[in-house]
Amino acid sequence: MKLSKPRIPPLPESQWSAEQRPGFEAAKKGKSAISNAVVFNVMGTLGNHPIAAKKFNVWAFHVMGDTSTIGAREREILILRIGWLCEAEYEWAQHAVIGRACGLSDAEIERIKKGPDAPGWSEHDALLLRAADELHKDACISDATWNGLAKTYNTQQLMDVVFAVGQYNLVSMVLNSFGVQLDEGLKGF
Amino acid sequence: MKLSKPRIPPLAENEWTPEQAKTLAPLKAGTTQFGARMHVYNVLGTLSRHPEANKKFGVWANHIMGATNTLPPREREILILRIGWLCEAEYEWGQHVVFGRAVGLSDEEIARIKLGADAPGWSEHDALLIRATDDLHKDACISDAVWNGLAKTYNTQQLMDVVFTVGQYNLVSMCLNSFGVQLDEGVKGF
Repeated sequence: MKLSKPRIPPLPESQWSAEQRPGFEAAKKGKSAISNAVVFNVMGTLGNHPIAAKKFNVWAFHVMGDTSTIGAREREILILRIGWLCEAEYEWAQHAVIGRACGLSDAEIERIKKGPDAPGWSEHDALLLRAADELHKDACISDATWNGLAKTYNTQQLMDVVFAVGQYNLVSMVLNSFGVQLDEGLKGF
Repeated sequence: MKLSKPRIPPLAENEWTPEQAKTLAPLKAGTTQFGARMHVYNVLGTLSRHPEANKKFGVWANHIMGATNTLPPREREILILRIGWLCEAEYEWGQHVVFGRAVGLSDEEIARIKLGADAPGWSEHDALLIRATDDLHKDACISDAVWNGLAKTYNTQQLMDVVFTVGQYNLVSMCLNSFGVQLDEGVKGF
């Protein structure tokens, strides 16, 4: 973790507003596939700015939800790679679990750390990793990578590649700068 | 511009769905607050190729640019111009020079944003905003010195909005650059 304790701690239960309470209570009762945590630290932290969190979630659920047009496994490759490049350990930890649930093997998840040139990737998977690397370095996908992805992706899928990387680059900045600590039971890098 | 022509061109008027026509058509009429002829911005036309994403994106984008952002607009625009400059997103720069001027940035200050936090003339607070952007661009994290400096005058929500604003416009830069969104008519680049 870049920070060993939070700069902005998750909102304590005693400070939940009437409007926030139902969402947090539902999170507490629901059994999460990701960890034992009741309210994820990221959710509790964003709870310090309720109106921003509400609007943020609308967009976040495009990227993680069913209006995103890229396959879930492919989305998780992009998210894990940008989280790794940004050294956002919380993001990595959460999405290692989600990625596994979407079909990534443990070996593939480890290999994401090594990048597109590590042996074993399909051409398409390597292109996804390169897209994340280029967006991280230049804020732009190169012609070679764009044209490679465009062989199989349509316009909306190409857009969703940039949206997924850009969104999780933003999330990395948030997690790192606010000092969001790992949820109970999650493993970091 | 990183790309001299679009990879994803703006949706043409004859491609608008009836739902899109309702929001896009009024933008063609009238004049802007700056006196220019109104039109559908190339960025909006481009994002309209993914209507469902664009709708949800717009909700969050309007937090950053709207009244729920707790940062004063002049400070917000310093952050946006700096991240646009660092990402070489000329479209973002061109648009936000106009917005920045409208919310109190002088032409001299706008030019100085390109030079960075150490250029002579910034207040301590303005320099911290530029440093926060540079830290986020380089390390995806604000350093202790900059965070603590900003926390002298900013409350928790304002500190959060600093990161949200830079992160959002870094995302916007990635979109503009990768989709090849071309400058709107009458807007100047770098």
